[in-house]
Amino acid sequence: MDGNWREVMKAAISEVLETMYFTDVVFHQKTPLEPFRGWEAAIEMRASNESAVVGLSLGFEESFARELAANMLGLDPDGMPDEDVRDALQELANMVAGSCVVLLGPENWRLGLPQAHSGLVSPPTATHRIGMSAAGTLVGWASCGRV
Amino acid sequence: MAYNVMIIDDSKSMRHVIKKVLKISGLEIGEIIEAGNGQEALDRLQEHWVDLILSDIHMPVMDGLEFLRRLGSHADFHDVPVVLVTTERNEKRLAEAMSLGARAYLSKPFQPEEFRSLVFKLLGVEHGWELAGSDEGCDF
Repeated sequence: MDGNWREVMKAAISEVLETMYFTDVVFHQKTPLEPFRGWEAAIEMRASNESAVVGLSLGFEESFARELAANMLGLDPDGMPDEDVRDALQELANMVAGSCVVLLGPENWRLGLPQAHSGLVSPPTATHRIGMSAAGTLVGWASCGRV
Repeated sequence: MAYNVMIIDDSKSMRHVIKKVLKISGLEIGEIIEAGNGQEALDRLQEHWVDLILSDIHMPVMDGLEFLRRLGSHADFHDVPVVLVTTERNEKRLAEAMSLGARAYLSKPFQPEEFRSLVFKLLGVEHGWELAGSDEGCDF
């Protein structure tokens, strides 16, 4: 299972961003090395037999996070309340984790409740990491690993 | 006939998306009632006529499974069809939800067409026209 986590994340993120956020990103093996101001959303995926707990995190640069929320809500990203951005990113983490679980195969998994917060987003440290860019600019990262 | 629909989800964004998809589905929509969890939904059901409930499973305060349990034992609301719109993939939990009275479930993320087909089928509506005889046979 460990070997395909990055592929699973890529497929899940693509599906969710295209379907619900009307956005495409390009994936990179390289992830940001420096902290940036933005948003981080996280959720836990727990195997039903308690054999594994995997944490999934998504980090997005501020303006891209607002763009995602704006696309989902059909609103202007400027002046959008932080609460709406948080809500849209929590739901994004929730759906990405849900899609990951499907792609991971036959095990039954249970999802935790997603969380999101804004501030200085540190580079990802979990075992499996991918970078994301849009319009040629690095806009965020995704990571997952056993908790 | 215009259908009153209740949307239960702790995510305001997701409620917004579902509302948008409902509005473009071609289904004649009356009132859309929103609730952030199962308890809020039960409270709001006291005040509104609802023809269809679209509910998430993972919610704080009262989750979708407990909501189904309470709804199923309620004399006035037990026959309102419930569709789960959820990221839940645990087969046991989905089977439990169906055994508690959910009529169907739709996995998030979903395509608008999937959503439309499921809702139309459940309500017995075909291409915006109700199936013949759906209002007949009411005995009092």
